[in-house]
Amino acid sequence: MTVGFFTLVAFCALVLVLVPGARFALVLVWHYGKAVAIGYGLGKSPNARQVKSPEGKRTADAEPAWEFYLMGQAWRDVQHVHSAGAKSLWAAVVERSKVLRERHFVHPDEAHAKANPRWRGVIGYFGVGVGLVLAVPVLLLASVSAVSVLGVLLLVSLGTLYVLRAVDTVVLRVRGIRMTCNTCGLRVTFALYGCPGCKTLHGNVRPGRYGMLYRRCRCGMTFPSLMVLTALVRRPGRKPTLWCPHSDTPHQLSDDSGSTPEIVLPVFGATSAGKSQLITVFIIALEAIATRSSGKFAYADQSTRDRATNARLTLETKGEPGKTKAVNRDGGVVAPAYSLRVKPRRGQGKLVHVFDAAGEIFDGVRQVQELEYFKIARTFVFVIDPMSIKAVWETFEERRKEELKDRRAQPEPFATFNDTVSTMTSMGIDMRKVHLAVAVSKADLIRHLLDDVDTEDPVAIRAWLETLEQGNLTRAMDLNFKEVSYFLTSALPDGNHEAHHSVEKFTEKTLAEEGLRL
Amino acid sequence: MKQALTEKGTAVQQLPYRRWRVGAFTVSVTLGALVVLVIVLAVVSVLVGVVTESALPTT
Repeated sequence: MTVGFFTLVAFCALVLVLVPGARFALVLVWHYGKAVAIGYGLGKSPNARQVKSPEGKRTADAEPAWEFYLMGQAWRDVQHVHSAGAKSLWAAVVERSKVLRERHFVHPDEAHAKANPRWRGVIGYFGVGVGLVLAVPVLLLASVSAVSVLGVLLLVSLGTLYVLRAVDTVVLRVRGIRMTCNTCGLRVTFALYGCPGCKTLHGNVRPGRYGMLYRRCRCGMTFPSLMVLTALVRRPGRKPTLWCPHSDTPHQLSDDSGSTPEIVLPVFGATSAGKSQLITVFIIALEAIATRSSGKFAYADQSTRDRATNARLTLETKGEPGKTKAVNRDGGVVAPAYSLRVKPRRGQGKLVHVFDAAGEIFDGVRQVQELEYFKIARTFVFVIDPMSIKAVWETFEERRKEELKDRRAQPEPFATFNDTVSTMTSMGIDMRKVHLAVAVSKADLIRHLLDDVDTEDPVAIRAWLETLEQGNLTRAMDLNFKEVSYFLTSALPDGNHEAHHSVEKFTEKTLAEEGLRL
Repeated sequence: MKQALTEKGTAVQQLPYRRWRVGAFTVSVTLGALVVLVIVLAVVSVLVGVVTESALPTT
């Protein structure tokens, strides 16, 4: 009984002592929380820490984008809010102590002294101490927990970052999507992104320092940092443009790069072999076949549209397309591709890059080595001018020779083929994995030699070439390439957006080899 | 950063990282409340335990 009574008394005394302390602890927690809220920029008079603004443009170690919060600003904010909280807490203690001193220890008169006795001041000070003892561990624990949560989120983000990168890579690989620059012919692994808002270029766009799924440009516009998400953006004003990073002056990739599987089709052959004309009619044929079979055809970029339209017009008016210009880029040779978007009625659409290299490029080994797209392509087109074969040329009368001499390729096909293949070997291209489509052009000019040849049959075309003393060429082709197919083509448009059926057949078969069945 | 229009139509700078900061503050407050709750519950349970034990008849 006695023990119980004393326990009860002790409990009451404890409660009496704890109440003012707990009340002051709540005041301290309130002040601390308020300072934290203001420090995070909340409330009517926010005082958030100044954020680190992004650079104006790309530098070696910074991008013009806002950093991912957890990788920078979060920790500056933590420092800011908790030091503001601690200052606020100390200010509350000082203020309370000042009030207690002035109320209970500085008496202007007797009445004031009676109303505010010193012993209550002592209890008040005791309450301040108890309040501090109660509040500080609580605040410390809460702060450490909050910082730990941010830390855990950061660790999860770092883990997620690599998972997202892996998912992006795997999805692209499964869908067979790669990016090729249609200007310099190089494979693009990490394209530069042009902000859809301010057009500023961003590099290294993938989950990381500047965001996990999205990147926020310095202008405030966000865009996806994953290729799979970029492909899903449909609104033109929100879709970032992709740029090739391999040049000093970046150039824009085709509109569907990164979202559609590609076919890279290099066309090689001697000067005046008929490459450009074949390509021009190839494009006409592709459009005609795709449209006829309820598929879709479109130029993948404005540059291709302009060049293809010009080439078609020149071909229709002058009978031959303009000469392809080899363009120097950073000391190398640039042969811009014609990029075409083709979607068959059934199956996956493809982005077809047809690289038309100027014939002069094949005159020099070093220049061929600059043609980086040779390393990417799985099908090559070798254009042979039959008039460059001596046995064919000698069948023409002198008058006809005089008419055709300017349109004739000079080197024999074997010379061009041999030089190109040697260079391809030195470039490290495994030709046993490569399919070669041989297009014997200008068939309309050598009709007198084709009376006994089945022009639709590759075996017959090969045999015909061998009768023209080209056995060394056909054997070299068989020896070097995985598979060789032969076509006789008359690259002529009919003026009604239709191509000669020989080019249509060549187009259909060549693209079918690359998995595009129209 | 994004420009937002106030009711009066004046453009003001929206604070960057606003959502993250609101989230960080919410986490801090929630954890603070949890810590307080746990401490209060612990103290109360100790006190209740003491009182209950003292009220039990002694042998």
